[in-house]
Amino acid sequence: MKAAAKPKQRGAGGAGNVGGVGGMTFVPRTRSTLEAVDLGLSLLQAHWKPVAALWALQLGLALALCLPFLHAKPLWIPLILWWLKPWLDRGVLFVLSRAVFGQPTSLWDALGEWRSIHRSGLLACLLWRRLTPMRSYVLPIFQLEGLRGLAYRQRARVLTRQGGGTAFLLTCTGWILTLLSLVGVIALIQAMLPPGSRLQLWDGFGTMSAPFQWFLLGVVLLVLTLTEPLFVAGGFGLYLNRRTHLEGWDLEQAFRRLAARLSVALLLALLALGGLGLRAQEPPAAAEPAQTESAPHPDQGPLRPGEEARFRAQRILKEDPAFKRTEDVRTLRYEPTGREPKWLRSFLDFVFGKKEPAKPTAPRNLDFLKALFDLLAVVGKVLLVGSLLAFLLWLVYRFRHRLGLPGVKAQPWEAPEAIAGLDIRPESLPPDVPAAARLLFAHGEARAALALLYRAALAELVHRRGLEIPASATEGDCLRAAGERLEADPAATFRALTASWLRLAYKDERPTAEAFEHLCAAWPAAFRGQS
Amino acid sequence: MPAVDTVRTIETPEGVELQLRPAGPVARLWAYAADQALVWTALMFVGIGLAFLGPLGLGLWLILAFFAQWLYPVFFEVLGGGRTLGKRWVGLRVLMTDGRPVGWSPSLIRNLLRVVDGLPGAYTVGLISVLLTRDFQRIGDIVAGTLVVHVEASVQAPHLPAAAPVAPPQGLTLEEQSALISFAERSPRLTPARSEELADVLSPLSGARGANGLARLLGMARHLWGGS
Repeated sequence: MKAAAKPKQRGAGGAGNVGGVGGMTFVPRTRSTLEAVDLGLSLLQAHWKPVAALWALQLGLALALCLPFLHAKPLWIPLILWWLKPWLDRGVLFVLSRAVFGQPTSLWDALGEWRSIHRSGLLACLLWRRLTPMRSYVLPIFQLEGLRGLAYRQRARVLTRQGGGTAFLLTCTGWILTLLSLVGVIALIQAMLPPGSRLQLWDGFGTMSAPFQWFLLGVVLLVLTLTEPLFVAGGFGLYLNRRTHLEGWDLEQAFRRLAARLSVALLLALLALGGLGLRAQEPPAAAEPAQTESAPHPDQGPLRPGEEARFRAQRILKEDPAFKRTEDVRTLRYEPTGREPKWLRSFLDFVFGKKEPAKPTAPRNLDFLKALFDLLAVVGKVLLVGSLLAFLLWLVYRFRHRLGLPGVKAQPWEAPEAIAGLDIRPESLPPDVPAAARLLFAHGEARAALALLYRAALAELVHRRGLEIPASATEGDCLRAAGERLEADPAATFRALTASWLRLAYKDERPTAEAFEHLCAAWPAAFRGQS
Repeated sequence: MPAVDTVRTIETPEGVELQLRPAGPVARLWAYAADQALVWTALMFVGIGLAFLGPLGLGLWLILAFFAQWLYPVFFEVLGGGRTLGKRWVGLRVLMTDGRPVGWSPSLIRNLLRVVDGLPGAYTVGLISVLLTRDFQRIGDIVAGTLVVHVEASVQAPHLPAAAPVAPPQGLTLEEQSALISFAERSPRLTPARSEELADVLSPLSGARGANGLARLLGMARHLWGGS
């Protein structure tokens, strides 16, 4: 099984020369899946600089390719970038996978390995696997292990057996954080505008003017930069943790440490023997003389505590330079001089919102918000009604046998495996029941013999005569059921058998040999229909 | 650069080592979402009941909503072992940075400062703060000196595979002993080839390689664990 291979790299395109467990720069443990995500984030925190550099390179490349064609429609660029995220992810994973084994990454390394980063499965990730719900968890399988097709699917099945749910949760978290950050950044910029500014960013969603589209592109770039590496790193943490579970990386590390200790133990012991006599005890360093701090005394006589405190406070206020600081507070204000060019005047007016406040602002166009809430309401209504309907349908389906609906076949009767604790499966019985019972009785095991007779009789009744006796029936219930369905003779035999079984079972009263022999003799005729 | 780890070890004045595992934004987001869903569902149902009281009901509902937003987490964090219901679901709890349980005042501070973390309306400040601090603290956590950590799974006695007990030839430290025992416990879930490969690393200890070495290591684990 491939999962058992040493932590070495199969394909290229990342992790470079994975040296083995010894060179790891993280502590492998068997973590819970959520904690594994945090491991990935800690890795990202430790190595964010090379990640950011490569990210900037990739983003710049994508923008350079997009801009010449789409400068007229900048709104398309965020969409294309969003679709290209699996490609952007590969750079992040490349840096992190090398960092895990202590290899620093420069941009030149990434350019040198460029082909191997993108070789395995990029097209699939960009096309039919673009929306897979565990994208960041399975990305290392493509990029680091270099698997594709069937091999990939088998490997993914092994890995996602644990942590798949968390990987999906991580993907959802990516969506939520991206959306939240988008709203947050726009709200932050809006809040930072000078008071009175007439720039209403939120209205841009209604008008979608060209400047707003460019602004939106910038915000999307910022937000992607914030959330996408987080998503990739979380998935990589899950992947590392899963392999630690599967391959015992933590154990290997502990074992290597122990083996190293054992191999140098002898040498150390010799050294210690030699060195013991040589080390002289050094006298402890002399303690620093304690700084004496004399409290300032007032000049004239003792003062009461309150007065002394006030006196001290006044002296400190007078002498300490910290309380003599003056501060210039300068604020930027715009006063039109009348000499500036018109365009500058109108621009400054616009930014500071200083002049012309009297012009009534048009009511803010919140139609898009209303449309959004209308949509939410419809979705909520559909969900609520739908789930109610689904619940009702499920209820009907669940209790379809009790409702007695036309067209529903009654649940077929299924014979229980045991009645009153006695195994009644036919395969648990010997072919010749009376003979086996006689043998047991002759060995003095009357209880086993009678139990065999009784449960064999029950088995015959249930499986051959079709008596519907539930598993919870008592001996009395069985007797009643048998009395209703059997003819007189077998019923009498069953009654006698039940009675002697009950006497033995609850009273420990063994039947006499004749009575037992009588039961055995009557058994085949009564229950097998033989004479 | 020290190795990256999710565990922070803290030594108490008594010389006891505590291991804390700070929880990152993903787990905390879902705990928060679960809490909000719970609170608002409860408020909705209460609101339906209070609607029959007219304006009085609205007033009562607003007061109730205020308490639910601001004091629900505080009560659960202090009286529920550092765990609101959402945190309980995700497996998180709130502790002081030195590992003590959280008290009224820190809990109140960290929950009131949610206002700052929530700026500018979409938790952006909190997210950035969590991403920038090593222990994933938001501003409220930093000010209150608290930490949100993963709850440790309870320890259970290991199921060791059957093997004849063998005494280890050398004295082993506590970590080495527990590594041996956890190897024995996990070896049925590793592939046989990988188990032997791991056992070969310890051939200086077991004095054997391959299947023999593995059997001797399992025996040592049994010996260390004791019992039958």
